[in-house]
Amino acid sequence: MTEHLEVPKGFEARLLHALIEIDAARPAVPAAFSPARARRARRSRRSLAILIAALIVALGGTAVASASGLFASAPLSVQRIFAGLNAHGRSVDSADAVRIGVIDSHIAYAAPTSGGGFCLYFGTAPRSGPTGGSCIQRGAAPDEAVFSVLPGTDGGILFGRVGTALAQKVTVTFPRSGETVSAPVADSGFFAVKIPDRSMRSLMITIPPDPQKGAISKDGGPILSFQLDRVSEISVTAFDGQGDVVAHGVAVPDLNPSPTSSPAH
Amino acid sequence: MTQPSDEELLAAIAAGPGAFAEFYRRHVSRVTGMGVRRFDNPEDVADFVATVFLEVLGSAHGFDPARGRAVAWLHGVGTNVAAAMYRQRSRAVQAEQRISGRALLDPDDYARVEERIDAAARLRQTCLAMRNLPEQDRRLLELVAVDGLTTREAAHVLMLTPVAARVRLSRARSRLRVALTHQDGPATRALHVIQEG
Repeated sequence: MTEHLEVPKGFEARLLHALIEIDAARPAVPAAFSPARARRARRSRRSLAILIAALIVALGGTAVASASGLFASAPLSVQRIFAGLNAHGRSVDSADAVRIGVIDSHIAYAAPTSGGGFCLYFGTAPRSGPTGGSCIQRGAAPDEAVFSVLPGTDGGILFGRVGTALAQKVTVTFPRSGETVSAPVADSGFFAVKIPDRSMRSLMITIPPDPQKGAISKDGGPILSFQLDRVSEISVTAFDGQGDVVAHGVAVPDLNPSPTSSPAH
Repeated sequence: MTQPSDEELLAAIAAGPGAFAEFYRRHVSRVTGMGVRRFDNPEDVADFVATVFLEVLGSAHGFDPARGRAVAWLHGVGTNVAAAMYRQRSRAVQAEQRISGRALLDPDDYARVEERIDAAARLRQTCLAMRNLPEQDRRLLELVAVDGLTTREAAHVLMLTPVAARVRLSRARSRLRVALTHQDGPATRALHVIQEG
Protein backbone atom coordinates (compact mmCIF):
# COMPACT_ATOMS: atom_id res chain seq x y z
CA MET A 1 0.00 0.00 0.00
CA THR A 2 2.99 2.30 -0.49
CA GLU A 3 1.87 5.63 -1.89
CA HIS A 4 3.24 7.23 -5.00
CA LEU A 5 5.72 9.75 -3.63
CA GLU A 6 4.62 13.33 -4.16
CA VAL A 7 6.45 16.48 -3.19
CA PRO A 8 4.36 18.18 -0.51
CA LYS A 9 3.36 21.75 -1.27
CA GLY A 10 1.68 24.58 0.56
CA PHE A 11 0.95 24.01 4.22
CA GLU A 12 1.90 20.34 3.91
CA ALA A 13 5.43 21.40 2.90
CA ARG A 14 5.65 23.91 5.74
CA LEU A 15 4.31 21.33 8.15
CA LEU A 16 6.95 18.88 6.99
CA HIS A 17 9.72 21.38 7.79
CA ALA A 18 8.27 22.00 11.23
CA LEU A 19 7.94 18.29 11.91
CA ILE A 20 11.46 17.60 10.67
CA GLU A 21 12.71 20.02 13.30
CA ILE A 22 10.73 18.24 15.98
CA ASP A 23 11.95 14.91 14.66
CA ALA A 24 15.59 16.02 14.64
CA ALA A 25 15.33 17.19 18.23
CA ARG A 26 14.12 13.76 19.41
CA PRO A 27 16.67 11.56 21.11
CA ALA A 28 17.23 8.12 19.68
CA VAL A 29 15.18 5.80 21.85
CA PRO A 30 16.50 2.35 22.60
CA ALA A 31 13.64 -0.12 22.41
CA ALA A 32 12.57 -1.66 25.70
CA PHE A 33 13.61 -5.29 25.79
CA SER A 34 11.05 -7.95 25.22
CA PRO A 35 11.71 -11.39 23.77
CA ALA A 36 9.15 -10.97 21.01
CA ARG A 37 10.52 -7.58 20.10
CA ALA A 38 14.04 -8.95 20.13
CA ARG A 39 13.05 -11.77 17.77
CA ARG A 40 11.42 -9.33 15.42
CA ALA A 41 14.44 -7.07 15.67
CA ARG A 42 16.73 -9.94 14.65
CA ARG A 43 14.47 -10.74 11.73
CA SER A 44 14.30 -7.14 10.63
CA ARG A 45 17.96 -6.30 11.20
CA ARG A 46 18.91 -7.05 7.64
CA SER A 47 16.01 -5.13 6.20
CA LEU A 48 16.74 -2.26 8.57
CA ALA A 49 20.29 -2.19 7.31
CA ILE A 50 18.91 -1.97 3.79
CA LEU A 51 16.58 0.78 4.95
CA ILE A 52 19.38 2.78 6.49
CA ALA A 53 21.52 2.34 3.42
CA ALA A 54 18.63 3.44 1.25
CA LEU A 55 17.99 6.47 3.43
CA ILE A 56 21.64 7.41 3.39
CA VAL A 57 21.63 7.28 -0.37
CA ALA A 58 18.22 8.83 -0.90
CA LEU A 59 18.05 11.36 1.89
CA GLY A 60 21.27 11.41 3.74
CA GLY A 61 20.29 12.52 7.28
CA THR A 62 22.86 15.08 8.28
CA ALA A 63 25.12 13.69 5.64
CA VAL A 64 22.16 13.56 3.34
CA ALA A 65 21.33 17.18 3.31
CA SER A 66 25.01 17.88 3.20
CA ALA A 67 26.02 15.53 0.45
CA SER A 68 23.07 15.80 -1.87
CA GLY A 69 23.25 19.53 -2.30
CA LEU A 70 19.47 19.54 -2.34
CA PHE A 71 18.53 21.64 0.63
CA ALA A 72 15.05 21.95 2.07
CA SER A 73 13.67 25.44 2.55
CA ALA A 74 13.90 26.85 6.04
CA PRO A 75 10.58 27.35 7.86
CA LEU A 76 9.08 30.81 7.97
CA SER A 77 10.07 31.26 11.61
CA VAL A 78 13.72 30.79 10.66
CA GLN A 79 13.38 33.03 7.61
CA ARG A 80 12.15 35.76 9.93
CA ILE A 81 15.20 35.30 12.15
CA PHE A 82 17.52 35.60 9.15
CA ALA A 83 15.74 38.79 8.13
CA GLY A 84 16.70 40.26 11.50
CA LEU A 85 20.38 39.29 11.48
CA ASN A 86 23.16 41.82 11.16
CA ALA A 87 24.73 41.05 7.79
CA HIS A 88 27.44 43.69 7.98
CA GLY A 89 25.62 46.06 5.67
CA ARG A 90 24.61 43.39 3.17
CA SER A 91 21.01 42.33 2.56
CA VAL A 92 19.93 38.84 3.59
CA ASP A 93 17.80 36.89 1.13
CA SER A 94 15.85 35.29 3.95
CA ALA A 95 13.26 33.80 1.60
CA ASP A 96 16.03 31.61 0.15
CA ALA A 97 17.12 30.27 3.53
CA VAL A 98 17.67 26.52 3.60
CA ARG A 99 18.32 23.75 6.09
CA ILE A 100 21.86 22.46 5.68
CA GLY A 101 22.29 19.84 8.38
CA VAL A 102 22.41 19.13 12.09
CA ILE A 103 25.32 19.97 14.37
CA ASP A 104 25.14 18.58 17.90
CA SER A 105 21.33 18.45 17.79
CA HIS A 106 21.09 22.02 16.51
CA ILE A 107 19.57 22.28 13.05
CA ALA A 108 21.80 24.50 10.94
CA TYR A 109 20.31 26.85 8.38
CA ALA A 110 21.92 29.15 5.83
CA ALA A 111 20.69 32.15 3.87
CA PRO A 112 22.48 33.94 1.04
CA THR A 113 23.48 37.57 1.36
CA SER A 114 24.02 40.13 -1.37
CA GLY A 115 27.48 39.98 -2.86
CA GLY A 116 27.88 36.24 -2.58
CA GLY A 117 28.13 35.73 1.18
CA PHE A 118 25.92 33.91 3.58
CA CYS A 119 24.51 33.86 7.09
CA LEU A 120 24.12 30.84 9.35
CA TYR A 121 21.59 30.20 12.06
CA PHE A 122 21.51 27.31 14.51
CA GLY A 123 18.12 26.26 15.81
CA THR A 124 17.29 25.48 19.38
CA ALA A 125 18.04 22.05 20.78
CA PRO A 126 16.96 20.49 24.06
CA ARG A 127 19.62 20.30 26.77
CA SER A 128 22.15 21.95 24.54
CA GLY A 129 24.06 25.13 24.17
CA PRO A 130 23.19 28.55 22.90
CA THR A 131 21.41 29.17 19.67
CA GLY A 132 22.34 32.01 17.41
CA GLY A 133 23.25 33.25 14.01
CA SER A 134 26.03 35.08 12.27
CA CYS A 135 26.93 36.34 8.83
CA ILE A 136 30.28 36.36 7.13
CA GLN A 137 31.59 39.82 6.43
CA ARG A 138 32.81 39.23 2.92
CA GLY A 139 31.05 38.06 -0.18
CA ALA A 140 32.35 35.83 -2.97
CA ALA A 141 33.80 37.08 -6.23
CA PRO A 142 32.73 35.10 -9.32
CA ASP A 143 35.91 33.02 -9.16
CA GLU A 144 35.64 32.36 -5.42
CA ALA A 145 33.95 29.81 -3.22
CA VAL A 146 33.74 31.10 0.35
CA PHE A 147 33.49 28.38 2.93
CA SER A 148 33.82 27.54 6.56
CA VAL A 149 33.68 24.53 8.84
CA LEU A 150 30.85 23.98 11.30
CA PRO A 151 32.44 21.76 13.93
CA GLY A 152 30.47 19.54 16.29
CA THR A 153 31.45 17.05 18.93
CA ASP A 154 30.45 14.14 16.72
CA GLY A 155 31.50 15.45 13.34
CA GLY A 156 31.43 18.53 11.22
CA ILE A 157 30.08 20.04 8.05
CA LEU A 158 31.97 22.13 5.54
CA PHE A 159 29.60 24.69 4.15
CA GLY A 160 30.10 27.36 1.53
CA ARG A 161 28.86 29.34 -1.40
CA VAL A 162 30.25 29.67 -4.91
CA GLY A 163 30.22 33.11 -6.48
CA THR A 164 29.38 31.99 -9.99
CA ALA A 165 26.20 30.41 -11.26
CA LEU A 166 28.30 28.28 -13.63
CA ALA A 167 29.50 26.06 -10.80
CA GLN A 168 27.85 22.68 -10.64
CA LYS A 169 30.18 20.71 -8.42
CA VAL A 170 32.84 21.27 -5.80
CA THR A 171 35.62 19.02 -4.66
CA VAL A 172 37.08 19.43 -1.21
CA THR A 173 40.48 18.10 -0.22
CA PHE A 174 41.36 18.04 3.45
CA PRO A 175 44.88 18.73 4.74
CA ARG A 176 46.90 15.98 6.39
CA SER A 177 44.31 13.26 5.72
CA GLY A 178 44.42 13.94 1.98
CA GLU A 179 40.81 12.83 1.65
CA THR A 180 38.79 14.34 -1.20
CA VAL A 181 35.01 14.68 -1.17
CA SER A 182 32.72 16.00 -3.92
CA ALA A 183 29.34 17.66 -3.61
CA PRO A 184 26.90 19.25 -6.05
CA VAL A 185 26.26 22.96 -5.97
CA ALA A 186 22.67 23.77 -5.06
CA ASP A 187 20.51 26.88 -5.42
CA SER A 188 22.18 30.15 -4.39
CA GLY A 189 25.55 28.48 -5.04
CA PHE A 190 25.41 26.68 -1.71
CA PHE A 191 27.34 23.50 -1.12
CA ALA A 192 27.99 21.34 1.92
CA VAL A 193 29.86 18.17 2.69
CA LYS A 194 29.89 15.99 5.75
CA ILE A 195 33.52 15.96 6.82
CA PRO A 196 34.86 12.41 7.03
CA ASP A 197 35.88 11.43 10.56
CA ARG A 198 39.55 11.08 9.73
CA SER A 199 39.63 14.51 8.13
CA MET A 200 37.71 16.02 11.03
CA ARG A 201 40.33 14.68 13.41
CA SER A 202 43.02 16.17 11.20
CA LEU A 203 41.51 19.61 11.83
CA MET A 204 42.01 19.14 15.56
CA ILE A 205 44.95 18.90 17.90
CA THR A 206 45.13 16.69 20.95
CA ILE A 207 46.02 18.34 24.22
CA PRO A 208 47.14 15.91 26.91
CA PRO A 209 45.43 16.38 30.28
CA ASP A 210 47.39 18.65 32.61
CA PRO A 211 45.59 19.21 35.90
CA GLN A 212 48.26 21.66 37.01
CA LYS A 213 47.36 23.98 34.14
CA GLY A 214 43.66 23.30 34.52
CA ALA A 215 43.59 21.50 31.17
CA ILE A 216 41.51 18.45 31.92
CA SER A 217 38.48 17.00 30.22
CA LYS A 218 35.39 15.66 31.98
CA ASP A 219 36.54 12.08 31.66
CA GLY A 220 40.17 12.89 32.41
CA GLY A 221 41.24 12.01 28.89
CA PRO A 222 42.95 14.16 26.27
CA ILE A 223 41.26 17.29 25.00
CA LEU A 224 40.51 17.62 21.30
CA SER A 225 40.73 21.19 20.16
CA PHE A 226 39.43 22.34 16.78
CA GLN A 227 42.03 24.46 15.02
CA LEU A 228 40.57 27.39 13.12
CA ASP A 229 43.83 28.05 11.34
CA ARG A 230 43.67 24.63 9.71
CA VAL A 231 40.43 25.54 7.93
CA SER A 232 42.41 27.71 5.52
CA GLU A 233 44.46 24.63 4.60
CA ILE A 234 41.38 22.95 3.13
CA SER A 235 41.33 23.05 -0.64
CA VAL A 236 37.99 23.74 -2.36
CA THR A 237 37.61 23.81 -6.13
CA ALA A 238 34.41 24.45 -8.07
CA PHE A 239 33.77 23.04 -11.53
CA ASP A 240 31.24 23.80 -14.24
CA GLY A 241 29.26 21.21 -16.15
CA GLN A 242 32.15 20.55 -18.53
CA GLY A 243 34.56 19.87 -15.69
CA ASP A 244 36.41 23.16 -16.03
CA VAL A 245 37.53 24.94 -12.89
CA VAL A 246 35.42 28.05 -12.30
CA ALA A 247 36.26 29.01 -8.71
CA HIS A 248 38.70 28.37 -5.89
CA GLY A 249 37.97 28.23 -2.21
CA VAL A 250 38.47 31.07 0.23
CA ALA A 251 38.26 30.05 3.87
CA VAL A 252 36.18 32.12 6.26
CA PRO A 253 37.12 30.42 9.48
CA ASP A 254 35.70 32.72 12.15
CA LEU A 255 32.10 31.66 12.08
CA ASN A 256 31.35 31.19 15.75
CA PRO A 257 27.67 31.96 16.14
CA SER A 258 26.86 34.76 18.49
CA PRO A 259 23.78 34.63 20.70
CA THR A 260 20.90 36.24 18.88
CA SER A 261 18.20 38.45 20.21
CA SER A 262 15.84 37.05 17.61
CA PRO A 263 12.93 35.03 18.94
CA ALA A 264 13.53 31.31 19.16
CA HIS A 265 11.46 29.39 16.66
CA MET B 1 17.41 0.75 -5.22
CA THR B 2 15.16 -1.04 -2.75
CA GLN B 3 12.78 1.36 -1.09
CA PRO B 4 12.09 0.76 2.59
CA SER B 5 8.58 -0.42 3.30
CA ASP B 6 6.21 1.67 5.38
CA GLU B 7 6.65 -0.81 8.19
CA GLU B 8 10.43 -0.42 8.06
CA LEU B 9 10.08 3.35 8.05
CA LEU B 10 7.91 3.24 11.17
CA ALA B 11 10.52 1.07 12.88
CA ALA B 12 13.18 3.59 11.91
CA ILE B 13 11.05 6.50 13.15
CA ALA B 14 10.63 4.71 16.46
CA ALA B 15 14.39 4.23 16.72
CA GLY B 16 15.19 7.92 16.30
CA PRO B 17 15.29 10.90 13.97
CA GLY B 18 15.81 10.68 10.23
CA ALA B 19 13.19 8.51 8.58
CA PHE B 20 10.13 10.60 9.29
CA ALA B 21 10.24 12.83 6.22
CA GLU B 22 10.01 9.86 3.85
CA PHE B 23 7.00 8.46 5.69
CA TYR B 24 5.37 11.90 5.69
CA ARG B 25 5.86 12.39 1.95
CA ARG B 26 4.32 9.02 1.24
CA HIS B 27 1.24 9.56 3.34
CA VAL B 28 0.50 13.26 3.69
CA SER B 29 -1.94 13.18 0.80
CA ARG B 30 -3.75 10.20 2.32
CA VAL B 31 -3.97 11.92 5.72
CA THR B 32 -5.15 15.19 4.19
CA GLY B 33 -7.78 13.15 2.40
CA MET B 34 -8.91 11.71 5.72
CA GLY B 35 -9.08 15.26 7.05
CA VAL B 36 -11.22 16.72 4.28
CA ARG B 37 -13.64 13.82 4.61
CA ARG B 38 -14.13 14.61 8.29
CA PHE B 39 -13.85 18.37 8.66
CA ASP B 40 -15.44 21.15 6.67
CA ASN B 41 -12.91 23.96 7.11
CA PRO B 42 -9.22 24.22 6.18
CA GLU B 43 -8.14 25.11 9.72
CA ASP B 44 -9.47 21.88 11.17
CA VAL B 45 -8.06 19.89 8.26
CA ALA B 46 -4.61 21.43 8.80
CA ASP B 47 -4.79 20.81 12.55
CA PHE B 48 -5.86 17.23 11.88
CA VAL B 49 -2.93 16.59 9.53
CA ALA B 50 -0.44 18.17 11.95
CA THR B 51 -1.82 16.21 14.89
CA VAL B 52 -1.82 12.90 13.05
CA PHE B 53 1.84 13.22 12.11
CA LEU B 54 2.81 14.39 15.57
CA GLU B 55 1.12 11.23 16.80
CA VAL B 56 3.14 9.24 14.29
CA LEU B 57 6.35 10.73 15.71
CA GLY B 58 5.27 10.03 19.26
CA SER B 59 3.62 6.65 18.76
CA ALA B 60 5.66 4.87 16.11
CA HIS B 61 7.21 2.71 18.82
CA GLY B 62 3.74 1.30 19.46
CA PHE B 63 3.39 -0.01 15.93
CA ASP B 64 3.60 -3.78 15.78
CA PRO B 65 3.91 -5.20 12.26
CA ALA B 66 2.56 -8.50 13.51
CA ARG B 67 -0.78 -6.82 14.10
CA GLY B 68 -1.26 -5.17 10.75
CA ARG B 69 0.27 -3.00 8.12
CA ALA B 70 1.55 0.52 8.58
CA VAL B 71 -1.19 2.10 6.51
CA ALA B 72 -3.84 0.43 8.62
CA TRP B 73 -2.07 1.67 11.74
CA LEU B 74 -1.98 5.19 10.27
CA HIS B 75 -5.71 5.05 9.65
CA GLY B 76 -6.12 4.01 13.27
CA VAL B 77 -4.13 7.05 14.37
CA GLY B 78 -6.28 9.21 12.10
CA THR B 79 -9.55 7.93 13.49
CA ASN B 80 -8.29 8.43 17.05
CA VAL B 81 -7.20 11.99 16.31
CA ALA B 82 -10.49 12.75 14.57
CA ALA B 83 -12.43 11.34 17.52
CA ALA B 84 -10.38 13.47 19.91
CA MET B 85 -10.96 16.55 17.78
CA TYR B 86 -14.66 15.82 17.60
CA ARG B 87 -14.71 15.75 21.36
CA GLN B 88 -12.40 18.76 21.60
CA ARG B 89 -10.31 16.84 24.03
CA SER B 90 -6.83 17.43 25.24
CA ARG B 91 -4.83 15.61 22.61
CA ALA B 92 -5.58 18.09 19.86
CA VAL B 93 -5.09 20.99 22.23
CA GLN B 94 -1.74 19.65 23.37
CA ALA B 95 -0.65 19.15 19.80
CA GLU B 96 -1.58 22.72 18.96
CA GLN B 97 0.75 23.90 21.65
CA ARG B 98 3.67 22.25 19.88
CA ILE B 99 2.63 22.90 16.30
CA SER B 100 -0.46 24.50 14.92
CA GLY B 101 -1.48 23.22 11.53
CA ARG B 102 -3.79 26.14 10.90
CA ALA B 103 -0.98 28.62 11.49
CA LEU B 104 0.76 27.17 8.43
CA LEU B 105 -2.08 27.90 6.03
CA ASP B 106 -1.68 30.64 3.44
CA PRO B 107 -4.34 31.97 1.04
CA ASP B 108 -3.42 29.46 -1.67
CA ASP B 109 -3.80 26.64 0.83
CA TYR B 110 -7.28 27.81 1.75
CA ALA B 111 -8.38 27.66 -1.87
CA ARG B 112 -6.74 24.29 -2.47
CA VAL B 113 -7.98 22.65 0.73
CA GLU B 114 -11.48 24.07 0.32
CA GLU B 115 -11.55 22.55 -3.15
CA ARG B 116 -10.77 19.16 -1.65
CA ILE B 117 -13.30 19.75 1.12
CA ASP B 118 -15.97 20.49 -1.49
CA ALA B 119 -15.02 17.38 -3.42
CA ALA B 120 -15.40 15.28 -0.30
CA ALA B 121 -18.69 16.85 0.77
CA ARG B 122 -20.73 13.73 0.22
CA LEU B 123 -18.41 11.53 2.24
CA ARG B 124 -18.16 14.12 4.98
CA GLN B 125 -21.94 14.20 5.25
CA THR B 126 -21.76 10.47 5.68
CA CYS B 127 -19.34 11.00 8.56
CA LEU B 128 -21.65 13.55 10.13
CA ALA B 129 -24.57 11.19 9.87
CA MET B 130 -22.60 8.53 11.71
CA ARG B 131 -21.86 10.66 14.75
CA ASN B 132 -24.62 9.11 16.83
CA LEU B 133 -23.53 5.52 16.27
CA PRO B 134 -21.61 3.70 19.01
CA GLU B 135 -17.95 4.70 18.69
CA GLN B 136 -16.57 1.36 17.51
CA ASP B 137 -19.33 1.00 14.92
CA ARG B 138 -18.81 4.56 13.73
CA ARG B 139 -15.06 4.09 13.34
CA LEU B 140 -15.51 0.88 11.41
CA LEU B 141 -18.09 2.38 9.09
CA GLU B 142 -15.97 5.50 8.57
CA LEU B 143 -12.97 3.44 7.56
CA VAL B 144 -14.96 1.37 5.08
CA ALA B 145 -17.58 3.77 3.71
CA VAL B 146 -15.61 7.02 3.96
CA ASP B 147 -11.93 6.12 3.68
CA GLY B 148 -12.40 3.23 1.31
CA LEU B 149 -10.58 0.55 3.26
CA THR B 150 -11.58 -3.05 2.77
CA THR B 151 -13.35 -4.75 5.64
CA ARG B 152 -10.20 -6.76 6.32
CA GLU B 153 -8.03 -3.61 6.45
CA ALA B 154 -10.52 -1.85 8.71
CA ALA B 155 -10.55 -4.90 10.95
CA HIS B 156 -6.77 -4.62 11.28
CA VAL B 157 -7.07 -0.95 12.21
CA LEU B 158 -9.55 -1.67 14.96
CA MET B 159 -7.91 -4.93 15.98
CA LEU B 160 -10.98 -7.00 15.18
CA THR B 161 -11.12 -10.31 13.43
CA PRO B 162 -12.41 -10.01 9.86
CA VAL B 163 -15.47 -12.01 10.83
CA ALA B 164 -16.23 -9.76 13.78
CA ALA B 165 -15.71 -6.72 11.59
CA ARG B 166 -18.17 -8.00 8.98
CA VAL B 167 -20.78 -8.65 11.66
CA ARG B 168 -20.22 -5.27 13.25
CA LEU B 169 -20.28 -3.53 9.88
CA SER B 170 -23.56 -5.13 8.96
CA ARG B 171 -25.02 -4.10 12.28
CA ALA B 172 -23.70 -0.54 11.92
CA ARG B 173 -25.19 -0.21 8.46
CA SER B 174 -28.53 -1.45 9.72
CA ARG B 175 -28.52 0.96 12.62
CA LEU B 176 -27.62 3.86 10.44
CA ARG B 177 -30.19 2.88 7.84
CA VAL B 178 -32.92 2.80 10.47
CA ALA B 179 -31.78 6.11 11.89
CA LEU B 180 -31.72 7.80 8.52
CA THR B 181 -34.75 6.35 6.83
CA HIS B 182 -37.04 9.19 7.79
CA GLN B 183 -34.57 11.99 7.27
CA ASP B 184 -33.88 14.18 4.26
CA GLY B 185 -30.89 16.10 2.95
CA PRO B 186 -27.42 15.01 4.02
CA ALA B 187 -28.75 12.03 5.90
CA THR B 188 -30.41 10.64 2.80
CA ARG B 189 -27.24 11.06 0.79
CA ALA B 190 -25.29 9.33 3.55
CA LEU B 191 -27.69 6.44 3.40
CA HIS B 192 -26.94 6.17 -0.29
CA VAL B 193 -23.21 6.02 0.44
CA ILE B 194 -23.42 3.28 3.04
CA GLN B 195 -25.71 1.24 0.80
CA GLU B 196 -23.07 1.51 -1.90
CA GLY B 197 -20.37 0.40 0.53
